[in-house]
Order: sequence, then C-alpha cells, then structure tokens
Amino acid sequence: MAEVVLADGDNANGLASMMGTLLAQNVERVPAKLNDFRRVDGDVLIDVGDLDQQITLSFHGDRCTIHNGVAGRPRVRIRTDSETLMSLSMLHIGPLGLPNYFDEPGRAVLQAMRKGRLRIGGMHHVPTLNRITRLFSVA
Amino acid sequence: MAYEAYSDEWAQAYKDEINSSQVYKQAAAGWEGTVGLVVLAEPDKNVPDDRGIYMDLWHGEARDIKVVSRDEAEKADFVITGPYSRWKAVAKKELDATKGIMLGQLKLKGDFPTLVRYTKASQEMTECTTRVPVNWPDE
Repeated sequence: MAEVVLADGDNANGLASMMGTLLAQNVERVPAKLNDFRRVDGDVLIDVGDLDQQITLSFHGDRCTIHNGVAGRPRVRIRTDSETLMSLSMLHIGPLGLPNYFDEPGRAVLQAMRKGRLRIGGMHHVPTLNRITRLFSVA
Repeated sequence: MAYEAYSDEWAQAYKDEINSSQVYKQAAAGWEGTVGLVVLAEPDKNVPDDRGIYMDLWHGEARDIKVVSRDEAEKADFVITGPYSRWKAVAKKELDATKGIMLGQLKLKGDFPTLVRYTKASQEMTECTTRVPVNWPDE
C-alpha cells in the first residue's frame, strides 16, 4: 500500500499538499501505478517558478515523503510553471508505458520544452522520468 | 446590471453565463458531479457569515446553481473552500483558481485526478464568473 507523507505536516506548502493528494489518489485509483511508485526509489525535485514553490519527492519503497524545498540529492529536477505542470499530468501513456508526445497534450509539453517553460535536469535518468510521468498522469 | 455578490440573482446569472459558453460545453462534455464553493466569512469585509454555492454540473451543462449554507455546499462531490477575499480575487481575475489551489490559498476536497482532467473546464468556469458584474460587499 503506497503511503504519501508531507514532511512538513501542516506547514507543507500548497504545491506539496496538492501533489501529495494527486499522487496518493492516482495510485489508489490505478493500483498498477504502485509498481512505478516502488521503483522510483530516489529524490525528484519539482520547482514551479510562477508559484515560487519547490518540493522534493523522496521515494523509498512504499513511501513517498514530500518535502518543502530541496531535500536529499534529486536525481531528476523538473523546473516549470503551474500551467505546464498541469499539462504534464494530462500526458497520455502510450504503448510500452511511454508518454505519448504526438497527441495534443504531448505536443503542448514539447512546445513548453522548446520555449523554455519546462526544463528537466537528469534526463539521462529516463526510467525515473517515465515513472514519474506515469505516476502523475491522470489521462 | 450588477448583482449582489452570492445572491440568488447572481447564481442565476452565473448559471446562464456558463450555459452560454461553448468553451465550457466542450471542455466539460464528460463531467458528472456536483461542485460546492465555500466562501468563508470575513466580517471586516462585510461578509459576516460563511456562505455556500452548490453547482449541479452535468455533461457541459449547469443544471442548477444555487446559494446555500456552508454545510450544504460541503455535501458536493468536489468542494473548494477559501475566504471571501480570495474568491473575490478569482472573480476579478487577480487570482487563477488552479494556482490558488496549488498555493494552498483555496482548499480542495474531492478526487484531484478528475479535477485535473477538467482543468480547461474549471478555467472557463472562472472566466464565466469574471463576466458576471458584481456589487461586492466591501466596495
């Protein structure tokens, strides 16, 4: 059973609270995502510039602890804006479990990358990035 | 003609505005569920009591929108809660509702993945509120 914990409790920032809820509900709704949840096994930073908020998701086994700000040593760093963050959640997952970048949500994400509204550090950790994308996809 | 904020007349005008929006009709074509908005009292802004707005939304149509008590609004499938001044900022386009949720300025209760899938519809609903002229109690 996946567990999502806010490290800062009641002082968790809004982004931590929202992403924590989204992650927990998504895994509960689609139990197949639990496999991805367990296999991330590392830290992922999400930095949303227009909100001036950063969070680090620390995945270890069945638990994900979400910290305000930067914590640990993030393997993947996603720097974006709030609108693009929502677009990332709209990505459809295609064959082989890979994000589909050829439909409308996919093209929107690619355009955000081209325009610099989405920057991903640690892209060589492709499996981690794909797992995170699948975990947050609501499409 | 401007309507008293959160009056029955305002609710009817808001419903009419939503039902005249083709953007909303398309974006919410698959939506099924009720949404409650809770406006928390701010006595110093002439809003002495909590108020609720109950919206029965179905496949791109607003079947009913009414001003209710906070308790009734909280019975909806999705509930968004915030102080009066935040809702006023949303209606005046000073605060994007999605950003407000991400910042923790508005609190969401309900299935977040579903709401994310209908981000465009919720943005259009916000647009509709901005098109309804309002007499604000603190102006």
